[in-house]
Amino acid sequence: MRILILSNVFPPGFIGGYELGAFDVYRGLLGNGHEVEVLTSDYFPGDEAVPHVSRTLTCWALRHELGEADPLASHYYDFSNVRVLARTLREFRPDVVLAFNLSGLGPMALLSFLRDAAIPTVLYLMDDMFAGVDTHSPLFRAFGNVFGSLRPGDSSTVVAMSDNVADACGRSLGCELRVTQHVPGWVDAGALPGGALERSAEDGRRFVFLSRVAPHKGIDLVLEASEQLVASGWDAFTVDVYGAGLVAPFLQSVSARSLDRHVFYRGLLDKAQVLPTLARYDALLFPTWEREAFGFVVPEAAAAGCLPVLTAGIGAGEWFVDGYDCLKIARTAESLRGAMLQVLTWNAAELTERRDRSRRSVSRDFAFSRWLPKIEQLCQEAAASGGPRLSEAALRGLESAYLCFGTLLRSVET
Amino acid sequence: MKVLHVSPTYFSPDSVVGGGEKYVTYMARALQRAAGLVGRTVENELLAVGDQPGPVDLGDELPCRLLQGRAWDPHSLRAADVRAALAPADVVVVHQCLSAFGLYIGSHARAEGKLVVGMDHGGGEHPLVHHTPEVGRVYDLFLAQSTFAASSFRDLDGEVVVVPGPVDTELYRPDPRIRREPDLVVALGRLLPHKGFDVVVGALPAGLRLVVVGTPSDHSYWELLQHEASGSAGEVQFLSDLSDADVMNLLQRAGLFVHASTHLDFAGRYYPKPELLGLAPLEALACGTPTLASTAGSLVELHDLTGCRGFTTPQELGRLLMAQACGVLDWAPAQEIHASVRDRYGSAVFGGGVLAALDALGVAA
Repeated sequence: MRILILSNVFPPGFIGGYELGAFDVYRGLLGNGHEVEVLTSDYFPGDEAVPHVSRTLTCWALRHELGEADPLASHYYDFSNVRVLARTLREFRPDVVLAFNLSGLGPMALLSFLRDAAIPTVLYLMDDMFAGVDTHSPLFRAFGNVFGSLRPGDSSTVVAMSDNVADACGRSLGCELRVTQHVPGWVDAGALPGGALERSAEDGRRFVFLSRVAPHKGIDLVLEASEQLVASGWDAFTVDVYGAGLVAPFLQSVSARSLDRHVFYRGLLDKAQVLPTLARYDALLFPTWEREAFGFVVPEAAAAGCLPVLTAGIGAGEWFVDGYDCLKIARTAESLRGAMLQVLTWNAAELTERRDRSRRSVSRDFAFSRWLPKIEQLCQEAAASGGPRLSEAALRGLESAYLCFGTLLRSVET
Repeated sequence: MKVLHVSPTYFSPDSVVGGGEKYVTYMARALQRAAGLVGRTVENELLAVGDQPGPVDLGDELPCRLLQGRAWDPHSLRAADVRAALAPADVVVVHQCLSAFGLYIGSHARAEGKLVVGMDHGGGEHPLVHHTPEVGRVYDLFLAQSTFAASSFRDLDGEVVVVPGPVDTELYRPDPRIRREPDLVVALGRLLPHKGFDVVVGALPAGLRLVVVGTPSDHSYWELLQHEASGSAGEVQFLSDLSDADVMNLLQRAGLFVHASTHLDFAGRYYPKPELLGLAPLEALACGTPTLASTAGSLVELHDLTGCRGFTTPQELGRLLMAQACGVLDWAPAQEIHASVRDRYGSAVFGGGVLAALDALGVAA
């Protein structure tokens, strides 16, 4: 198959799990002999080690310079991106488009264009890429009147990591999004550590936070819960923090809360270091926001025998069972403190049993080798269902039609 | 073949009674006749815009449906309604294709995968038209009703085919039972400044009677015409709300028809496209009526028709009218004038030309 992957950003640089997941799929499809091209923005520079990538899109939501993003271009329509997509469709002639995160690229117009061009499309939801689209705004109504309503589930195959993310996308678009296939976040089975779990010392428990160091991922809740534990006399624990983000304010807060002997910043991890590192900890702290589409770190931690403690209701929570292979919490410092206290008070045997149960569960359900063929099959089915392709002239005509639509939409905004 | 004509307005007092609106009916009729001559079928339908959605009876053979909205304002329309209306068509002819409305409709027709034909009737141009030639790619073909009309598309990508006409030469023809009145001069059209009726009134000599047929559409211009008429050397009468039959009868009786459209009106205002075809003088000529036409827009293309003479200035018009009053202008017989129009602008030749253009794009029956 000739597969065109769309993503707002693409490795080697990355922000989170969405583009890393896209990268795994890209490598897997290339490895299985498909012709794959990636169309992404120039937010991250390219690398010879990541071939077949064109960084010619503009991502309005992610910019290096300060300033407000243009909401119309970011959420609805950017002609330069439509044009780049149209040119790529003409030149590469993909059998199917596999669309990952389109946020910031003008996703509404890009998906409408793929629909009107009758290009088989698989929309892969790992986050609410439509967040920021306001269904009550004049712009949203104008988009519907000018371009026509967008209901991605009607015109493309939809893969979602969870109902949570599909529901969020549906809410953003003001419609129900019919999911064709649920696919969870995965871990690379080949990198799973085997053998006995590394046991923590009897006199303390080791927690880990591995995500973006930012409030929406719950770093402030981790500090607050840790502070509460220490204040109530439970101080036999450490929390190691990995990740980029607002590190300076985090370190200042650690100092201000006198948590210097409990909470430590350990820097960034390469992808290859993630599983071996997680394997050294008793539990993962992941009090992320409820809209978290999935959270790749959850199955990664579980695979490494590091018991996930996660916000109930996030995408990964749909695939894990509270009290069996994870602990689910309300997104409050008190609830997180309670879960940490449980880990602190279990004896070593009980803790080991729970960590091992998580590991066994994940190795069965979350191996990438299990899900890649499913993604491949969905692409093949979408490609086979497509009708006759538009001629080059018709595609150019459609591109001009979108120029007209966009101009009319901008006239509403101004 | 299903041909959907889309226009912001339709020929009705409820919408607009103008040449651009009438043109759609004539075009549909010509297509149907030409197809019938070669054993093919063309189903025409008109889609326009009005306050209430649904069918509307235009009193002729062209079925018409309305989309709910404001004419000319694409933002008042719903894309879903437009797409649904376009879906059954094989060919979509977008009238006023360079306006915001036209670009909106053309773009949806393109997105629906239709064969999209654009026509301009002088209804305005969106700034995008002069900004990038790529806008032209929305259309598979631009159809121009005159060589002058083709100039509207010069800045755009895309193929332009000139098919002159149409005039319903089956309907508009000389009637040998009706006696010509050499002193009767007729002018016809909406009473708008760029139609130049004031020039005709001002040039009218004694001995001629001028009947101006048309609806006053501009208050200050209407006042000017009445003032000019009161001081005219000739006799001037204004008529409106005539039936088609009454208008045709008037044309068949007239000794002369005058069409004085202008690029510069009485107030010095410039009109880039005062005439894209010249339907009124063509209908007069089809009735066998001798015609004087200015050089504005497409009118110059009529000058080599039998029975048509051109003028470039009011003074030249005055001299020609004086000659008509004196009976010294020499005109061809009515049937020759009619035949000249029929052979170049008639329904059959026009319809055949359009069908050939569509066939060249791959829309065989």
